[in-house]
Amino acid sequence: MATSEYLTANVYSFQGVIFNVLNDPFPGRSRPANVNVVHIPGGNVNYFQLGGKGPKQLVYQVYLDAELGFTYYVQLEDLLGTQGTLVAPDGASLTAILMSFERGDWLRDRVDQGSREMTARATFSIVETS
Amino acid sequence: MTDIVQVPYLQVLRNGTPIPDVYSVSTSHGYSQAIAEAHVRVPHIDAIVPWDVIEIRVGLGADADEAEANAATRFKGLYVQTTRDLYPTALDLVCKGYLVKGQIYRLSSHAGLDLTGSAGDHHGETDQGYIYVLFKLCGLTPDVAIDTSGDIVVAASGDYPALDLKGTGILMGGNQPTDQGYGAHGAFLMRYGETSFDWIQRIDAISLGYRTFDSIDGKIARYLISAIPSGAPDFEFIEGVDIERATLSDTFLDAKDYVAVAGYADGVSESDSAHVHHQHYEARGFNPYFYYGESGTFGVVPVALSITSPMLERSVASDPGQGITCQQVAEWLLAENNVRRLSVPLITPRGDAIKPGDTIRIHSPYMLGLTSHLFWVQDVALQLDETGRFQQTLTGIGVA
Repeated sequence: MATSEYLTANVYSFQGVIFNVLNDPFPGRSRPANVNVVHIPGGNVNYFQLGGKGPKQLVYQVYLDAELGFTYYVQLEDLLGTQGTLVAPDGASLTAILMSFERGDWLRDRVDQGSREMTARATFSIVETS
Repeated sequence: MTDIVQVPYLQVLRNGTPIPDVYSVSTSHGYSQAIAEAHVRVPHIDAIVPWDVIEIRVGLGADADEAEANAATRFKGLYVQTTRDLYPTALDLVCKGYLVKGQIYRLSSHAGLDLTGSAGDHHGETDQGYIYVLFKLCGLTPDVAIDTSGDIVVAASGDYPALDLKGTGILMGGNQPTDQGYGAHGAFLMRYGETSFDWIQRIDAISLGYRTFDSIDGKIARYLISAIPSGAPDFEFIEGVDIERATLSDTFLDAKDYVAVAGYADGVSESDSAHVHHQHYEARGFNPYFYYGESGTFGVVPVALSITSPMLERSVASDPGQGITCQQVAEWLLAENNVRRLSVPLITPRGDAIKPGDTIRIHSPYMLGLTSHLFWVQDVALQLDETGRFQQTLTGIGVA
């Protein structure tokens, strides 16, 4: 891939498709918790019903640039809803499902260089089996 | 501030073996609906077949261990039906209480079946005895003779559920002459095409308040439930403590101050033998919310309830023979109906194993205007969804 002022060393890959994570070595992490709070009217009584945790999720601001950027974009889009191997810049890998992949708010045609730059938001759910 | 942490425990057993990965469960029991129902949502299940025994165990506690220790059976019955969602893939296993067997099997004999003769003497049975005979017909209990004069308690065994059948203990069906309808004991004949459940409903309707229904532990119960609950409550609910939602309905509009009961026709009139004479009795009461005429004449405008049952063989207790009398039924129904009826659907996050026929006390002096008021639990619905949300919805029935 061509270099860019936005490119960091955060080059990830999912099922072999590489993408950059925009200036964010610590991706957004989230984990939905099923906690129902039942308030009893007329008193200061609350029931916290603990229904367990949802899947761990990683949210990346993806940056794709250079002549192959759009190609990678389409390839990632094709991987939506599939389980695969997510590889971090340090080589660590984990099993994840690409839950969503949406175009970001920024896209630039670099006609002079024959390339496109674009951002996207990718959400992975980590698959844990133990 | 009181914060209570609840962790749910859920186990669903099929023929005694746990079903993995259950999404959610819901159950409903009630003495009005009689036949319990449960739904179990699962992602998949292998080789389930009709009449598999499904048991739902639910517990709540401050942590997982306590929840498991508190787990109790909240439904035990039979798998009868599946509905399957294409996507998101899920199966809804529809299960019914054991009483559903009484609703399915119909009598195939065109001649009918005389139920008074089960002991070979045609002297009749008690009301709970008839229920027991009907259970034998539809495979709900082994075909063995037992003493049916008192309460009938049978432990669960094999495919058969436990029974706890109480009743009036009054012998019925031995009085009727031989020329009525279908044969020797017309009203106590099970007719062609009739189900055991139909028959149970008919006999419960005149059994002075005894009602037959599926209980939450898989037992078939028959208990006395009168309009006016009394005695020590099984559970207490207090506003600001454990009532999440409730709506009180207080109405006299369904009240009756006059009950006319007609029994079987014995073919003899008191005044004219050419006319059929019904056993009968009328009971009257006073209702402070009804208008009795300007002079206050009692009974000028009776609001009547009228029922007829050929199972009632006598008018009053002094009549010869045996059987529940029209007078008993009329006085029971008058006490049931000549009231200002209170009804409270109530939602609670409490996990107690509340069942139909329990008595609850509701103390909500400010929000519902009830001060330590007693109610019957008419029905109970339990829900535990895939997010761990747990609630029980009860309907309390009482009188003002």
